[in-house]
Amino acid sequence: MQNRLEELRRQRGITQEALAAALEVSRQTIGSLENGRYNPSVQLAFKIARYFAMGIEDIFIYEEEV
Amino acid sequence: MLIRYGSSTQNNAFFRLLIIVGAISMLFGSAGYLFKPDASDYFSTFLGMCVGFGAALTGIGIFGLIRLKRLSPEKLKREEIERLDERNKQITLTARSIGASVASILLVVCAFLFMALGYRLPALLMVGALYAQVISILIAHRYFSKKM
Repeated sequence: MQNRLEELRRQRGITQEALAAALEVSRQTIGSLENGRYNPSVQLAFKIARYFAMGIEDIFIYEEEV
Repeated sequence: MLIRYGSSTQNNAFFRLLIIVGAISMLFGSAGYLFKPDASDYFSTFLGMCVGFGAALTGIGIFGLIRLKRLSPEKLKREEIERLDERNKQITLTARSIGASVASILLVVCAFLFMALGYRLPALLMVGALYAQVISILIAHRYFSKKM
């Protein structure tokens, strides 16, 4: 699953640390999400969407595996 | 994971419990030496293990309590976030699952090894531990299947 987390974070001038603190996760988790190495739980995806005041599907792009 | 970082009240209780269990274990080991100084070699080793295990638990408990007292609320909050972080939890679960698989393989290898060397009781204990592991997995699977 791809996401626009890094792009949105940079647009708003937020550091990974600040985003991690706001979402109450570790900075490493934000890094892993941005690199696409880790897919968030539904709860975390909702938290991220609410933080950016956007819909989940505007941030996370789900591509079905063929 | 022996050292954990929950809320400070939870951690205080956890570290105090470690100290109590450690102290009981040390007392048992020491009392054994005092009241049965002529104990067999095996029993003496067992008593020594009790003292060592108790000392380790007490040490961890004391260290944990001192650390909790010295940590700032901000640092405690950061550690709480690290502990509850979903990715960290997943990493820990995966690592534990691999560790459990390795332990299972070792139990089988040791059971065969002990039997080949003629140590019947340890071999049977290993097989018993394997059964206990399989049964606990089945029970946990059943429980969580109903819960989730």
